[in-house]
Amino acid sequence: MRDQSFVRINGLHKSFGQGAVQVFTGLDLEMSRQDRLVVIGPSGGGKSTLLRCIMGLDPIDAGEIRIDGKPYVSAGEGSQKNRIDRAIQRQVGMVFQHYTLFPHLSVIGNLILAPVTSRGEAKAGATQRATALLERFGLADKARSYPAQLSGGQKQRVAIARALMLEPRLMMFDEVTSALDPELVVEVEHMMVELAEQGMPMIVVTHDMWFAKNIATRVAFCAGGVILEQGEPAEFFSNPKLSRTRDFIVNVLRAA
Amino acid sequence: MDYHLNFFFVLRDFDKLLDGLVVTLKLTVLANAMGLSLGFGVALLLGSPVRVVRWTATAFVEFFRCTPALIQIVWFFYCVPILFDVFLDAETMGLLALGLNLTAFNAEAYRAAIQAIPRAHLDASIALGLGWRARILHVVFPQALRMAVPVLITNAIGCFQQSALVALVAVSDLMYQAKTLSTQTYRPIETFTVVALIYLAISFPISQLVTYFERRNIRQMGG
Amino acid sequence: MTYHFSFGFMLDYWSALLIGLTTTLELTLICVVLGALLGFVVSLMRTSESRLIYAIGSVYVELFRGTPVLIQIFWIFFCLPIVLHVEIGNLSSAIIALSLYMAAISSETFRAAMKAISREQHDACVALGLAPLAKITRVIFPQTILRAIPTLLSNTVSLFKESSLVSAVGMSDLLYVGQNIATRTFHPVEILTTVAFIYFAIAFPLTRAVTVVEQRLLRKIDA
Repeated sequence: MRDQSFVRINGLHKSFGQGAVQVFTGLDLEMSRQDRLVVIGPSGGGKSTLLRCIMGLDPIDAGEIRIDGKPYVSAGEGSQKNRIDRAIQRQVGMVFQHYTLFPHLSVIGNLILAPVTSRGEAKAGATQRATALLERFGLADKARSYPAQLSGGQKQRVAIARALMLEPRLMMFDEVTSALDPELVVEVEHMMVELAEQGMPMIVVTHDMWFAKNIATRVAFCAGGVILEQGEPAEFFSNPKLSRTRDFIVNVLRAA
Repeated sequence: MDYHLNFFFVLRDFDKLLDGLVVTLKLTVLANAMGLSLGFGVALLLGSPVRVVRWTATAFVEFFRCTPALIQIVWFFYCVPILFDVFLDAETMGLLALGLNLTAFNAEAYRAAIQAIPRAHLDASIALGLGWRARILHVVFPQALRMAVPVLITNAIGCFQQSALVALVAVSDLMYQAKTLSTQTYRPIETFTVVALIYLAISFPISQLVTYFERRNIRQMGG
Repeated sequence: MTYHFSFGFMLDYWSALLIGLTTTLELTLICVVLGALLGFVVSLMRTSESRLIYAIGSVYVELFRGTPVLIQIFWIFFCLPIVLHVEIGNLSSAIIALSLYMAAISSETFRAAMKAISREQHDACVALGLAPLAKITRVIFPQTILRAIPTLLSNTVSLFKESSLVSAVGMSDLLYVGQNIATRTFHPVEILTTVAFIYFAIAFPLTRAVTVVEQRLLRKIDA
């Protein structure tokens, strides 16, 4: 049986341009600590926006996000801004589609910047941790390199390592392999699989059905601003309940 | 020092300032006529396969872009009559200098715009069998013009402001009238402020036009 | 052409020209540094949430970009002492005027550089929980400077050329000295041409350097 919810989203409403474009119309989602949730769906269906809202990058209009039962992101009343629990926000890590490594800093520099400047960690200690992290994921020889000298796959792995430096309790991946050449996708997913094996809860938005089928513990289909369907991968892919889900899966698999 | 702001003196002789403005506008418009048309011609020369032509055009453009406009104007004013035994009035000399200066800057703007035309368009026009002249007229020129418009307008505004320099060689433009009036009335603050505002009143709206065109370009040139 | 060139006499005057050139270069250098610093501050003002601060910054920039530099110089030279009730020396006036101008044009440069930093860099800072001050000093500021360098170089060349305008208010820069010698020796062609070449010899390599620097920097930054 699933233990108590780790991440719980209730009644999420969000629009852009003061109601002009409705993104979420009452989205609900639950995730346990053992879960590796993969969110799939058509472009513009709101997958990336969902992650951004959980990260606190975009404001929500109504609804609530709780982590470990504690309120994390709550919509403000009327015109008030969202209330975000910063302590919880610091425990959520996110990696984006386009590397976003800081180009003027070396790999090590990228990794220790946040811990040293914003978490009061000593530079020596942070550097040690960073080096250990890089070694763990086979990037030790790139420690002094600059982003411009790395391949796409290496950049993404460094980006993941950078997020891991903050010892998050939840990791989110927003289409991190979509911009990569096919042969570089493997090394990044390998790293994500390792993280999964070490028990890191994660929410992954991806177009890669291999990952959804083999690594996810739950798959959610997000379209039209709500989670239309979700379930365990085996069940989900062989027996989708809605025809819309079925159409999407068929099309994506055909294109793969 | 006791100085009381009094704009009366400026307003009384405002018509003199307007006369100067007319001269300034005349210079600007004519210089732009020259710069917009000759500039495109020079831009084509810059891309010529003939090395001598290309280098001469480059030398022309670089010389006018890398030397102060004031020295160009002064040079035209003092040296051209001596060198070529021609005696044109100061206004024409100033116009020549401003016009050639603008030509050089516009040539550079056109050149950048031409280079930005996707190679695919040129290939397509060759594949369609368009002759050299037709290709230039119907493919290169329209697209180059559209891309270059923001820069061309910015250069035009720059020319408008640079025209003030001809006052230093005694051409009776707006700046010259400002200088004269400020000395006559002992009211430099009022005079120069009013004249500065006149320049601003014309430059600013046109520069907003540039922003408008730049936004339109981004929207329309998506393909 | 009935003009007989004679460059021989120029050897007598080369030291005067050198002094003029030194003045021009010193002036340019000082104003570039002061102007760039002020320009960065102004560009920050234009990203401010406060409407007042934003307005002050914008008005300042539009004012200095929408009026001829010549009028700005005249105003600082003739009107500012009256307004402030203090005497301002030639050099100080020139520095004030040209620095203010440089600040206006460089603030646009910094603004464009800041905008070029992609939104995702900002997102990454949030995702990493980076403190606001750390974000500005360690992420935004370094990248802004790096991206701005090529255009700043270009701004410097512009300032170098505009510096020749101080000759119009009697400051002994390169152009002033040149014109002086020209009138005294009745050989305007040789002198003015030489002065033009001196300006060119400095501005041209700098302009070429801009392209090289831009390519090197882009390679380093645009991963």
